[in-house]
Amino acid sequence: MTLLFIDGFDHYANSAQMRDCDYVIGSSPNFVVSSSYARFTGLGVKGDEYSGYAIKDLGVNKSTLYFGAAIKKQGAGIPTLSSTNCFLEFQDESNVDQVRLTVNPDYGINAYQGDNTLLGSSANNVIRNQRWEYFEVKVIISATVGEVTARVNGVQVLNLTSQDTKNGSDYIRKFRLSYIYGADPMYFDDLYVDDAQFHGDCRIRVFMPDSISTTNNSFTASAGNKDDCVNEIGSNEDTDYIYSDTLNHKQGFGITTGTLGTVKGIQVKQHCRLDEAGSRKIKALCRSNSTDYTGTETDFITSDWHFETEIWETDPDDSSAWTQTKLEAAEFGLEITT
Amino acid sequence: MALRDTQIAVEVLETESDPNLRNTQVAVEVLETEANPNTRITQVAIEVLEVTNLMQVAQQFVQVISNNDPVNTIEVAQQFVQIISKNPVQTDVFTGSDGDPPDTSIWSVQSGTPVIDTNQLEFLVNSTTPEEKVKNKKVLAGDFEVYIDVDVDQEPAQDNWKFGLEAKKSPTEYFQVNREYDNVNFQDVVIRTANGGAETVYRVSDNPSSTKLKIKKEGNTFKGWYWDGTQFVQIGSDVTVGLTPDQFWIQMVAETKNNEAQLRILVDKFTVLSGYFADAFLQNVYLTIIEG
Repeated sequence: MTLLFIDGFDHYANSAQMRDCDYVIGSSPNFVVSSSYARFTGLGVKGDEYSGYAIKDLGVNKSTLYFGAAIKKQGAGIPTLSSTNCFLEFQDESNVDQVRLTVNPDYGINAYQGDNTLLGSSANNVIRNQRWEYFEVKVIISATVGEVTARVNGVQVLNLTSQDTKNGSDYIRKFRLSYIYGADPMYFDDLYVDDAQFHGDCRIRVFMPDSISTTNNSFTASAGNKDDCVNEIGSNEDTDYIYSDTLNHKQGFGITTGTLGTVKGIQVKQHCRLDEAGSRKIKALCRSNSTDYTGTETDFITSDWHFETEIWETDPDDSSAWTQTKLEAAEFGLEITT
Repeated sequence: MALRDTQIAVEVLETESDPNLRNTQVAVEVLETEANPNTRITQVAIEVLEVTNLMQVAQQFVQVISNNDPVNTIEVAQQFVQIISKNPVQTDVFTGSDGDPPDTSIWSVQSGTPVIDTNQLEFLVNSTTPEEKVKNKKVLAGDFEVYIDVDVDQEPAQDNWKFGLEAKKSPTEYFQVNREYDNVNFQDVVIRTANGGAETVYRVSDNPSSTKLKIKKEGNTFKGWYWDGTQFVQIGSDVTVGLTPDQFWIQMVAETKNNEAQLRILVDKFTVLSGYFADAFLQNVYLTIIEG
């Protein structure tokens, strides 16, 4: 039904800052954000060693999940078989592993239920050394009609149906990115999570504000121009920011995307916090075709820097796909709604 | 007894009805795909596993097959050489100290004193030295392609002078591609050729100061080109010189007549792009064929 989350990892200052986006990072030195791990441009992430992992809480329980990401087995070593050290895991809301995926010594994919039961294996040599592959997997949690279907570069390599994939609750709440057992790091980039469909090989690019809305322009800059306060790739937090203490204040910004492919959806992220005690909630703002549209209201904003996200798969003004023209004509930002 | 008080701190429990909200980053992430993604190619490398001495192999090949089928030896050998010779057969970029003669392993000076000048071969002709000529020491056989890179440094507009590249079998069998000047046709690029009889001349009215002159032989058909700054332009028509298996000496000749002012030609590079040098062994094969 919907795209739940996307991450190109391009706007984080470091892996520690991913914690502001509801990731649990095992060890910052072993789970790293860097341009060295990007598939095309920008940044990507690397999981290395046992402690090099990131667990993302999607904030919603789903019994069916579609996951896609560009992955790269960076090392040239032969993987060591393990049912517990996996490059990708799906967990329920209680951190119980439901389904795990590994690269086996024959460079195939092994799928395990969370209790270490092998559900099935792909053919050999579907993952190559030191090559980016676009990996997608569909997981259905069920004790009787569970499913694990995987694709590499659009080609189905695993089709496991009528499986017992339930090791905890009926849901997936989190995914876990890590490494390939045998000390091979795994790179990740261009990641999506959906609850209804595969998207195929996708790319995620991030665009930062480069102009200020003249309609929605109520916030104050801590220094300099407002768009310059919120456009750092690698959020600089309290170094510069925009702020407001007034209910219903809105602030919008324009972006310049240049030529785009087929846009599957956009995600607006705000890195924000309260600097005084009190209760505030916000909504992401999208102004399209001279009309303001807002997203879902957030939880209470706290004093911690946190990324609030909103996805618009299509232009809310006409419910059709985003294009370069639409995105460059639109404005994005936030509104204080509580 | 005194009461000491070292700190009074007032802690206030407060809240704000309108707390400040700070926003330090707005990032719009776009999930996109391409129906027709660009494929970038940054290098095409063709690796060839080759023997170390292609010409030697070719000659051995000729020797072997000539024992059984001398009539077809040369034709087959030419094809073999053409196939395996991915590099020029010979190149001279005229490196050396100024004033040196051209590489004596390649060139025989026939007249005048052409010398190396700033890694070019200088031909200097005038009323005192009316001709300078160098001849490649090896006779060229088979289908071949030869060219030179030429700069015409000083060219008198007086009757008459010429400089060119020549494939020559005998005084009456030759093919030249020249830059020339005379008081009738002025500056031209010219083919002069003869096939045992009178000389035939083809002209193109052009005077590139920096050019290439090229001769190509296929069988006994000769073609000549010059570089007009953009592309090779064929001069005149295809002509016939000699017989298919004939071998030719390659020469570069500068000459002036009638006490002209000085002509200075600089040759940057000499290249035998294809063909093969007929050594004594191959000449024996050739003689066998003629006798057969």
